[in-house]
Amino acid sequence: MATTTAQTAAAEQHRASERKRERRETLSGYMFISPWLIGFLIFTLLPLIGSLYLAFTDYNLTSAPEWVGLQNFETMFFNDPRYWKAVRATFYYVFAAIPARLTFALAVAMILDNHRRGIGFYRAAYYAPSIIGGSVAVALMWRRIFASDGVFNGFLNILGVPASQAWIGLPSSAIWTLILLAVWQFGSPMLIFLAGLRQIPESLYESAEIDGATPWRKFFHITIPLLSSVIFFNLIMQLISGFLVFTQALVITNGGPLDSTLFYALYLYQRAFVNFQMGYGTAMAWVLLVIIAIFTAIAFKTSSAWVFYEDEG
Amino acid sequence: MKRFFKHPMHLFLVLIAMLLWLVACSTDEGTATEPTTDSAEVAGDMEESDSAEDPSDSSAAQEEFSLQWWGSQDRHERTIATVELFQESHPEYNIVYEFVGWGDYWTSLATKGAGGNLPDVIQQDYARFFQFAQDGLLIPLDPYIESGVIDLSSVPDSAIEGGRIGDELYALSLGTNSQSYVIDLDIFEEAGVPVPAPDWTWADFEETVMAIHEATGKYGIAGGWATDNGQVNALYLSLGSGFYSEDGKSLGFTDNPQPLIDHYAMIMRLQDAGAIPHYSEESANPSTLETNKFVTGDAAMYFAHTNQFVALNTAAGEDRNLMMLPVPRSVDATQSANFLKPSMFFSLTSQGNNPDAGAIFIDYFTNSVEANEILAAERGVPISTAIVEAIKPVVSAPSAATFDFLAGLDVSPIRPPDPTAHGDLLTNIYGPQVMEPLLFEQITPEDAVALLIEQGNALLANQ
Repeated sequence: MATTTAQTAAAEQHRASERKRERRETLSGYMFISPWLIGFLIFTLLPLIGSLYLAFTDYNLTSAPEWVGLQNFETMFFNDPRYWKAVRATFYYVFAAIPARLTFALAVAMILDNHRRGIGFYRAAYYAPSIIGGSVAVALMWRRIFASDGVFNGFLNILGVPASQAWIGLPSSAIWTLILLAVWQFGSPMLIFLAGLRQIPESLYESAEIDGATPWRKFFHITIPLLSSVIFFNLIMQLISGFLVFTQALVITNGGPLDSTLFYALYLYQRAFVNFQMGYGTAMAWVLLVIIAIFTAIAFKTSSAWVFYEDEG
Repeated sequence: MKRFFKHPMHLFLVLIAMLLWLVACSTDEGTATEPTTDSAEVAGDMEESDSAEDPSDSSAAQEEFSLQWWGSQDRHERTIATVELFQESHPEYNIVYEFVGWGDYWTSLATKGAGGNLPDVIQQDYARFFQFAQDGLLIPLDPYIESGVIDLSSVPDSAIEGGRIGDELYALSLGTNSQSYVIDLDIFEEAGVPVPAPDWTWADFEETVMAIHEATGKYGIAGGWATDNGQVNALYLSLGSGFYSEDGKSLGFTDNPQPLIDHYAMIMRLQDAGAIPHYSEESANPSTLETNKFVTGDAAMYFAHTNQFVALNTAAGEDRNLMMLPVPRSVDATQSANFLKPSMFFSLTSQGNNPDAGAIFIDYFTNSVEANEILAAERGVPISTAIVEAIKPVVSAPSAATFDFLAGLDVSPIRPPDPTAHGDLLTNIYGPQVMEPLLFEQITPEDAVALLIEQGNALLANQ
């Protein structure tokens, strides 16, 4: 009897010290992230709340904000034809550029997933464009490439196709130059795909080969299912960044011609920082947040149907 | 992860990183005081070792003020040279200056204004200073004029009128200018096309552009001109109205749209004929003062403000024969399509640290002969008649040509300042909904004008 009491007491003591240790660990955990946490509170959360307020005001930056209720949203949805052009251009871009970029990234990752000599060099070389791709310098270069006397037309002429269009100046082709730029920046999803591909056990392919599976069958029945969680991650990340596309359009086309590349973030910027309609700009930003949240939610909801996690068995 | 943080070495490294971060953050404040202590130390060293007669402690006592302007490369160089000249003759001041292009300038000022960080002296625009003054961002210049810090004794009152709101002067004009069509005489001669008369009409303009294109294959006029709403303002000014109505609550051509429809139809005829650059070219590669087709010698004319004639000559090169013409008038014109306006202003802001020093600089800018020899009327013909007399013999030929052009120009009275919705109307209606669809042949000139009147008036009524 005495021994059992002693045992329970010891166990009790052990649990208490365990709890204490856990608390201490939690506390030190928070301590360690506190620089980030404080930064987040001051530089992200507070402005976020501030912008929610501004979305319901008329604010030109220099005079005090004036409460206007839902007027900004009303104007946006019913009285601003350019707003809908911006929504249309952004969706067009997201649904063309993101699948294209992911497909391309996966294809390149498959090619680079081998153990040949010097493969590290090729991986670095293929990743490089995405480091510099978002820069203004590349955007300016892109503008020159697709100018009427640019490299692209020169190339077409060599191939015997006479061309002298200013591709960036035509409403029908301008957005495609930006989509092409997006595809060219495939580096970061490629790197993540590559890491995912390296995780797939070689033995699965070997046994499939013994069973006589074709490369296509191996791709669709081994690679894609085992990579699905990585694909899902890339899709979400790219979807979010796709909706936020800004720099390229600002530098290369500035939204033109005919508003064909007037992406949401760019139009938001123009309203806020060119027309100084901060209230309208922040209202647009909140709607964009909702749009992105909806698409992310859809992706998560449908993910159970097509994403396979190995630890689920 | 847990293991990572437990290791004392990692903890140490993280702390060091945080320390570095804090130090990096605080240096911004530190640098402001550092130079003074440094120079004081240097001065002290000099006294000890060389027993110098003039221990230069002037830098320690230097007063600082800030200045910001917009402009082209040519203006930046001239203004910086002027700033340096000012500092030579006024060693007690140190000017911190900043310059950007027109578009970024207002974004920069608005964000600085919101943060309470406006520079002491800012370049201002006729269409914008009213809003700035209304928001309490500017201080009146009158006290400085009364005390004689800013000397306006040789400036006619008509030249500073434009900067007044009520009885108070919030912006001092930096020069007078007007609009003009700059032509390349060599291309006209090559084409065998006569130089148009000063009172030429839009019909003469179309004929001239077509004739030059047919004779030389070059463009009659460089891009960027067709979409400029100033053309519409000038067209209606020659008919006694303007782009906006007198009160700014509606468009000035609401009741008389036919001249504008004809104007747009003419633009489309010229674009179809290839006599002007197609808009897709312009859209892909917007014209700037330095890179447009006129500067490269591929177009015979260029629409510019008269103060830009100096920079245009610099960009085009010394060997070109350029000349200014007034803006074409309507065929039914009752008066000139030109008017004189203050090209730009200097204002003192209420957020500056040292407006008194700023006022001294504004006076220098207005009344110093040496400064104006460098500035060379690049911001328009100086408002001081004494300065114009003094620098006319020494400035370059383009500056002198600008003086003569403005002196002999037939002008109409200036229209009231643009309404506050002006920027909104241009960027959200006039460009994307009217001019671009027109130039890409998606709507007819009639529809373009109808849409402009409908949308424009709705916006103006609601501002």
